[in-house]
Amino acid sequence: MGNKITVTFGSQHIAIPEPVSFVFETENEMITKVDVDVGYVHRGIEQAAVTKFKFNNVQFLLARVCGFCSITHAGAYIHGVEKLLGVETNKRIDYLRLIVTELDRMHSHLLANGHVAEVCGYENLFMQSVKYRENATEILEAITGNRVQYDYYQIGGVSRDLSAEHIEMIDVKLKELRVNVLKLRDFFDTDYTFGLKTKGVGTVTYEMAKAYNTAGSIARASGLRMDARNEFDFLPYEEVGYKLQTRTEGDVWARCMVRFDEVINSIDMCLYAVNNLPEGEIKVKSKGKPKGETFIRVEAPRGECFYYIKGNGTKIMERVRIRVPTYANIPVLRELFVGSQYSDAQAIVLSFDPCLSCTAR
Amino acid sequence: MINPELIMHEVTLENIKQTLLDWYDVDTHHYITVNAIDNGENLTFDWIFSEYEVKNVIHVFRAENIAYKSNIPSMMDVYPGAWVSEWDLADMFNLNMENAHRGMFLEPEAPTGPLLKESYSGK
Repeated sequence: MGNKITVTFGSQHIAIPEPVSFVFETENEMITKVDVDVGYVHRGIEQAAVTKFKFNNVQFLLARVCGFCSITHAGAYIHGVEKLLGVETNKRIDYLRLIVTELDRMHSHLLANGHVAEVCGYENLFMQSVKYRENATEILEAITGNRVQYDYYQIGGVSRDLSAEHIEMIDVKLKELRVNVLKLRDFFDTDYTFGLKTKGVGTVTYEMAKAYNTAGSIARASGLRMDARNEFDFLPYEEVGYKLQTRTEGDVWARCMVRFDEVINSIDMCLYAVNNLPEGEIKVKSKGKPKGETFIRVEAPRGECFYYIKGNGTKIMERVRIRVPTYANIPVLRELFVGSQYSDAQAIVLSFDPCLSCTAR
Repeated sequence: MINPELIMHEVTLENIKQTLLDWYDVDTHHYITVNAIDNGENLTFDWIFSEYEVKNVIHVFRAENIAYKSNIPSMMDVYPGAWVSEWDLADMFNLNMENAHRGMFLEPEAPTGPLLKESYSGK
C-alpha cells in the first residue's frame, strides 16, 4: 500500500498565474487521478458579442478574449465578417495581417518556452527568453501602437501601414531575434540536465494526439501534421515560406522544440513579407450588414482557433461561437497526468501552454 | 476572402451518434467542436470536423428544430475528447447533455443558460 496524498494545484499557483485548479490524487507521488476546474472568471464574451456591440466593433471585444492571441481572435472574426459582406482585401492587407499574426506567435512561443524553463529550475533562461522576446513586442508596438492588444485588424483592412523606416527596423530586429532564438534553441536541445527534466516526460503519443483531436504544437510535437495555416487559406502562408514543423517524441522537450522551430519559421516568413510587401491601400471599402453564417479556422499560437459567426442583416450579430485551442488540449492533458510523477506536473502543464483566459472567455 | 468548402450532413438527435460512429475515421477526420444556436423557438446543433492536410474543407453535421429540453447525446464514445465542448454548451445553454458535469465553466451563482436568447432578450 503506497502513501496516498491529495494535492491541489491552483486555483492560484506560482507556475501558472491564471485561475485553473487541478486536484491530484497521488500514491507514492505518482498521480492516480485528476480533476480539473476552469470556471473561475467566465466573462460572458460570447453573450456580449451578440447583445452589447455592433458587428463592426465586436472585433475589439473578441481581441480581449486573450491578451496573447488577441490578433487571432479579432482576425478570425474579421475574416468571417468579410466573407459575409463579400469584402475582398488586397495583397498588402493580407501581408500586413500575416506579419502581425506571426509576430504574435513569436512572442507567445518564447514566453511559453521560457515558462517551461522556469518551472524546470532555469530562472535565468526564462529571463533570457523574455529579454529576446522584447524584439517581437517592440516591433508590434511600432507597427500597431500597442504591445499586447493590437486592434490591428479592421473590417476591410488594417489600422496602420508600414513606413520604410518600419521595414528597416523590423528587418534588423528580426535578424537579431533569429540569432538569439537559435542560441536558446541550442541550449534546450543540448543541455543535459534540462533534457533529464523534459525528455520522456509527459509524452503524448501519435495515437493519443489523434484520438483526442489535439491541436497546435502539442499535436505537432507528437507527429500529427495538423495546422490551420496548412489547411485553411485565411492568409497567404504558402507565398511567404510557411513550413509545417513536426517532431515525433511527443514529450515536454519536443513541444518546446516545435515552438522554437515555429518561431524561426515565423521570423523567416515575416522577413520575406516585409521585404516583399505588395503595393496597395491598407483598407478597402465595405458596406452592408452581415447576413448568413460562416465557419472560420485560424492558427493561434496555442493551436487551432475556430469561429462560427452568424449575422441576421442587422447591426447585432446573431451568434458568435469560439472554440479556443485549449479546449482541444485539455482532454489529453487530463489523461496524461495519470501515471506521471507529481514533480513533473508543472513542466507538463506549462509545456501545454494552456490559456485560461481563452477558456473562460 | 476565405472560401471554405462546407459539406453539410443533415442528422437528428436520434441518429447523430450512429452516424458519426459510421462516418468518423480517426486517421482522416479532426473533430473541432460542437456548436449550438438559439433560433428563438428551438435550437440548432452542429458537430464540426476538418480533414487532416486537406485544404478548406469543413464537415458540419446539423440537427435542426431541437426542443430546449431535449436530451443531447454525448459523442465521447466516438471521440473521447468531446466532453470539454459538450460541458461548455451544457452550461451556456442549460442543456440536458448526456454525462455533462454541470458547473465546470460557470460558478453556481452565475446566470443559468447565458447564451439562451430568453436569458438576455427579456422574452
